[in-house]
Amino acid sequence: MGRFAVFDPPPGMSRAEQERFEQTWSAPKGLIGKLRTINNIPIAQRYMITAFMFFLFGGVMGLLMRIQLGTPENTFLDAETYNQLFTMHGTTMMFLFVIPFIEAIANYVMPLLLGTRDLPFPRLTALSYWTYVLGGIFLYSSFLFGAAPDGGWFAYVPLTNREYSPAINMDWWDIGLSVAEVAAMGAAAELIVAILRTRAPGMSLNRMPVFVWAMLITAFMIIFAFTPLIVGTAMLELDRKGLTSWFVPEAGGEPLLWQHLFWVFGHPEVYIMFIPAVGIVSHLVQVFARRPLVAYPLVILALLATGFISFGLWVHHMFTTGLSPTAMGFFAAASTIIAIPTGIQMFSWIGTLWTGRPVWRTPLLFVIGFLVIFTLGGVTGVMVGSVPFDLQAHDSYFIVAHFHYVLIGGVVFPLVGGLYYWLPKITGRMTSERLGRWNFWMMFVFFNVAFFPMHVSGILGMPRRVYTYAGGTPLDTLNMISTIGAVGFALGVLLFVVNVLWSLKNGEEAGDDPWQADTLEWSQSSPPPQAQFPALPVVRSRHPLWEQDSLEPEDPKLKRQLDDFDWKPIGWRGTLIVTVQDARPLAIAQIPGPSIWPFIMSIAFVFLFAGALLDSAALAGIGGVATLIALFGWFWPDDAGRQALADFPEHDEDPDRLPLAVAGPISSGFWGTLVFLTIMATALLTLVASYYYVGEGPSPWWPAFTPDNAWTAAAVLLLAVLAAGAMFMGVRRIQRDATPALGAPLAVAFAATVATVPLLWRAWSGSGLAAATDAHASAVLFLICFQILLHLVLAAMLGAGLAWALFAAGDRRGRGVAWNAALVAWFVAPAWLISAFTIYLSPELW
Amino acid sequence: MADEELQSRTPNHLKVIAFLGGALAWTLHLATCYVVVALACTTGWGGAKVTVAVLTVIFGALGIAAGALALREWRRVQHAPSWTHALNESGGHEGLIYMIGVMLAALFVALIVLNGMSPFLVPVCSP
Repeated sequence: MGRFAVFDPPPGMSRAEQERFEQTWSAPKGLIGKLRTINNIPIAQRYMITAFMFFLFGGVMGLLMRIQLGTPENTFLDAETYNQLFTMHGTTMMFLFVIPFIEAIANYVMPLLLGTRDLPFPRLTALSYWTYVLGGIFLYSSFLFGAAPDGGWFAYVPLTNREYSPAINMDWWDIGLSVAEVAAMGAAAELIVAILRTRAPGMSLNRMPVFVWAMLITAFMIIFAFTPLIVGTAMLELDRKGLTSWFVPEAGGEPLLWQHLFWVFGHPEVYIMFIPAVGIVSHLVQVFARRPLVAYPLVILALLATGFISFGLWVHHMFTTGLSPTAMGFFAAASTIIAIPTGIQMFSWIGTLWTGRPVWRTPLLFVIGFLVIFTLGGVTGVMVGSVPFDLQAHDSYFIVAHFHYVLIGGVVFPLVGGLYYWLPKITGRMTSERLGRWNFWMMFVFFNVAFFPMHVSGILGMPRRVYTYAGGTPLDTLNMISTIGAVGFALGVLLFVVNVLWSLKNGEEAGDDPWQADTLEWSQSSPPPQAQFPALPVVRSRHPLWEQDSLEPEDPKLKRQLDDFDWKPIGWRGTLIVTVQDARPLAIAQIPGPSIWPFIMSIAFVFLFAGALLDSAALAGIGGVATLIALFGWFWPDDAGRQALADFPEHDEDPDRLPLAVAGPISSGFWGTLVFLTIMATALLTLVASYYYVGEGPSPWWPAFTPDNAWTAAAVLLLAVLAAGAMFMGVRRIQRDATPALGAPLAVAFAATVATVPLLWRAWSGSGLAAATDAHASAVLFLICFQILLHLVLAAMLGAGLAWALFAAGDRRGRGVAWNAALVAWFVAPAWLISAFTIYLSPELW
Repeated sequence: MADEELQSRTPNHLKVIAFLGGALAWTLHLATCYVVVALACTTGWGGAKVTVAVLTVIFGALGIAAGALALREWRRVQHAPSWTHALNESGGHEGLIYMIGVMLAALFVALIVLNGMSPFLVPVCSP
């Protein structure tokens, strides 16, 4: 157990009770047990290993490309293979390595940093992992069929539409990528709720570690950035199947719309990778400088500013597409200004090291490497943010050099440093300092050997994405140097692998806190116990391990509230819910135990994807049915939930005892639903913007405002408002009545919602529009189908709520389902108002 | 960590405005200006410059208002001997929110002004 007395078993607790508590949190054993495991630690370990494997695959592809480019007119690779390699190298690194790896680290350390026992939706953690790994395998299986994606990781249309890429290659990309995106968004939703609601008591916003802030901002960015890409990839795939015509100019479609959708994701994506990395840097700098971070509030300010501004930069990837000079000016300004928050952090790190007593261990070396390399990448970033310079450098090797300086220097170096820092906690063993230093210097030196010459080759005119070049120019030498550097860099990465494997067997035992660090994860043994915090720590400082003698509660009321977490509950997994701003205890939440359903659902997804890829209704049908079964199993009430209800009766006589969080704003499900609705709102905004964007094409506007479709739209709206009103009544009853009667409001809302689905379909089928040949019709189809999807989700939630009301009216868990359904119902009506206005009224006003 | 010590007098929606109002003002300014310029360039409408200027004044004012609100609240909660000390104390989260709000507003108002200058420095549409 940890070095703080608070984590010791309470006096009088028997060994048998201790074992039962530990058993409650333990991950199941055996093969089936491994598939049922949902604890964040084993899942995060698998996530890390899988993502690192993809990193190695992506790295090998990069090496193959460098070997091809090492000499002019080389025939080591042919053009088609080269196209596949550069597409999969970029796709792997962006979607299958960096984001999953960051989320894996966050999944592992976040509960430990927050002082909680697990993430709030552990089954979602497991689903994200299985979906990610199966999606990655699905994407890579394209190599087996000689059909790996070959249209670039950006998949620009018209190159990737049906006409110019008729083979199946880009379908693998579209579908496989969507899977990875969904997994990333699941993990992001998890992190948002974890950080906002499950911190240790006392860990108010001003005491959150910088890495926690960084992951909170990143998780929100993932929600806002990945959603447009998912919408975009759905558009592209349906275009490729000939069902819609979003990007087909002859049908009024707009190829540039794809670039907007891709880069409104793609540029924030750079910062989605960068912000967690600088969060790690801030963490490491203060630990190894042995002093608190200089200007903590300014660093948080910088992270927030970077998060916002990163959404105002995407057009700088499109400076050469003929956009308005004024519009380019907006984005050039933002591209320049974003250097300010980055500069603030640089000065903070330098100031911290300058005024501290730096301990030069391997993690800090990687931080220094980051500072040097990223500064160079940042400077060239400001250069390419300037329109005149970008017009010269665009699509040249200068850009390749720039973004590798940003992504390897700015992301990979901090990640490796972070791994060296947290590996002793994860494995319980120290890595070798000597190997670590060799690892750092190999990576640092050969990185620069590989990528610095690319600035020059780019300026000399070498274009990117070409598989060979003519000899007899200075490019010959520069390319050879880059290739030598790439091989050396790969050897450096190999040293890291060797060091980790060596340490597992021969590394010195790490102990609880080998770095004398300040945050809560180091208060626990290495590796940590499965329950992570058998008793909950109380935070009274931003650096609890440096500034607190004890992690025990001092306030008597708080102590009584936390008694229920002192090696308790037993038999079910309980975690603390706190207020968002100041982390005051609010409730105890029951989180689920081991479950096979996340794994089964991810398998079902694979069938769905394969069906979509192969146009096989049978495969898709199997996947759909299996998904429904998995959903049913997932939400089926379990014994642990019943025990939690029994342990925490609704009307407890002890006023200081925390309630059980089963419904409403104190429950995690409520917050998870809010995150889901944020995703849906972003998707709707993306669709509405896309609708107007294709409006600029030659296709006529939707001539829609006829009495028939006006009545249909009005009927859907009235029914949606009825459902929302009924659920308003339902929520009022939950808030006012001790045993609320929810059957009637749920039945009304359910009937109204179900009735809207055929009406919505009639709105499309009766329109006479042909999405396959008309971009505008495609936009209408998407908006209506999106609305149908919302209504189906709502109907499923209302149906579940109704089942609770009919068969277990007294069970408090039914109220949680009703509350969450009410949130969705309140979203559905305004969503249709916006869609109906867009489809039916706005063309009339135009 | 007594409850009363941590209770805030400021409603949560005002806190959000004070915290992120400047950044939200810039986001809306960028989105509306981009749409105005795109419409002007596709339809040949000549009012883009004036509209961007008006939008700049409106959203700049909103950003300044958010910053002023944050500054007022920051001064209200600022009672510890130094701000660095206050930000590590119980209840310091409010100070952190408002302090960051003031500076975010300043940064984003500057960005709104820079964006507003764009149509006056370069042509609105490509020739």
